[in-house]
Amino acid sequence: MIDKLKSRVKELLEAKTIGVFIGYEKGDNPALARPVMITAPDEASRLIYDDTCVAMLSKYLLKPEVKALDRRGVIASYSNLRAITGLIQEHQLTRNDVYIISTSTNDKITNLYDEVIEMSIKDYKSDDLDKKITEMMKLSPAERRAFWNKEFSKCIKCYACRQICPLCYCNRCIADKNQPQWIPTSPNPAGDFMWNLTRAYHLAGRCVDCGECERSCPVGIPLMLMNKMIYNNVKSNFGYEAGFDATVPPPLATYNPEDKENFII
Amino acid sequence: MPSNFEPKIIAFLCNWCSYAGADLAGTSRLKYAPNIRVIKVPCTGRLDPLFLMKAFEVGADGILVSGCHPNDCHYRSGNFLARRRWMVFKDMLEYAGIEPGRIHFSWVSAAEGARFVEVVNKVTDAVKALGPFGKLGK
Ligand code: SF4
Ligand code: SF4
Repeated sequence: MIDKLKSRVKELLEAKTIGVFIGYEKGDNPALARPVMITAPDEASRLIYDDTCVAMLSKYLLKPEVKALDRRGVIASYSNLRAITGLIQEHQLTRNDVYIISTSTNDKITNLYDEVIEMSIKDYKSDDLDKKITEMMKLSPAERRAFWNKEFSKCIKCYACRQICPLCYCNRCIADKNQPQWIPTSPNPAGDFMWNLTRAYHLAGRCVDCGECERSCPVGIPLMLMNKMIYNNVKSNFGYEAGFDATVPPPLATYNPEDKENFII
Repeated sequence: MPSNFEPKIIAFLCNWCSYAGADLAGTSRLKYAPNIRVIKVPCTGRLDPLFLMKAFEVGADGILVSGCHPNDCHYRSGNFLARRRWMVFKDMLEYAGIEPGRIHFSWVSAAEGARFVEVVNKVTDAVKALGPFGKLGK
């Protein structure tokens, strides 16, 4: 199927349907493919697609230098499709800005791709986390606090988790602001907590469960153990999962007068 | 826990209802636990969850957030939007190991001086029972 992808990308560029195609090529690291922007039809032969193609490509759709090459083509796995849905929903993209080649047909995400070239790769799965989350909730608050303190204290504030997250797109992140400085930038205990919880919370109702933040974290903090809890929480509170419908507002940007308030004293 | 422990509680009160409710409690000369430090905010919708985390970071033992009753918001929907954020935020804090008894949300109107007293006393008791918060990240 990779040959089909190569020839389709070549055609699309030749026909000027797209000005750039975002895909993967072989990089220096054999375990991890490198994202590539193809602008010349002949370069489409560089494309690969296999289990090493995990990086979220949707991130590149928003880069000014890529935007300038309008229109943007992209190969989209299930997670990427969901991320792109989120970006359209949050008005970072319009559907017409992107030409999407989906790697699978999917009933839950309708109308989001222009064509399908079936290619299966190992997709991130967070299902096993639910059991761990239930276990976490059985611990005492002090035990949980100790657990997260230990994990967060590993954080070196490299912000890789933010840089890779497809839904983290602010030009100026709250973590970089210093007037006033809400989030301490040095790796100290309070700062570690503020940063990690803020990051997780800013993704509440927006996280598409792609697992990229955790994969990118150089010190191995189990970020998905936090994200997935929030994901499940939003699902049970508002019956909402991100990345499937670009036409509704994100759950924390709207309200229902009938929302439950049994926690209000 | 020292039996004479007096918690520091940061109370974020909205300008239009709860702050006026606190004022009424004062002008009515009602007595309540002296543990809250009040921060007036324009609307509960203005409250960034960062403010709440910051309060813990700088040494609060507990937090009270209070705004207008549903449908009474000066800006119509500020409290409805805030309510959704709190739902997720408080669960996230709990999951991170911050006891639910440290953070409380309430609706208090400008006419409810007595209710304000009741809420403050209740929150103070709950936080007292938990003891000092310690340091965030420690
Ligand atoms: S899993 Fe991580 S990287 Fe992916 S959307 Fe959620 S927070 Fe962002
Ligand atoms: S990627 Fe990991 S170490 Fe880097 S800022 Fe995020 S949590 Fe901290």
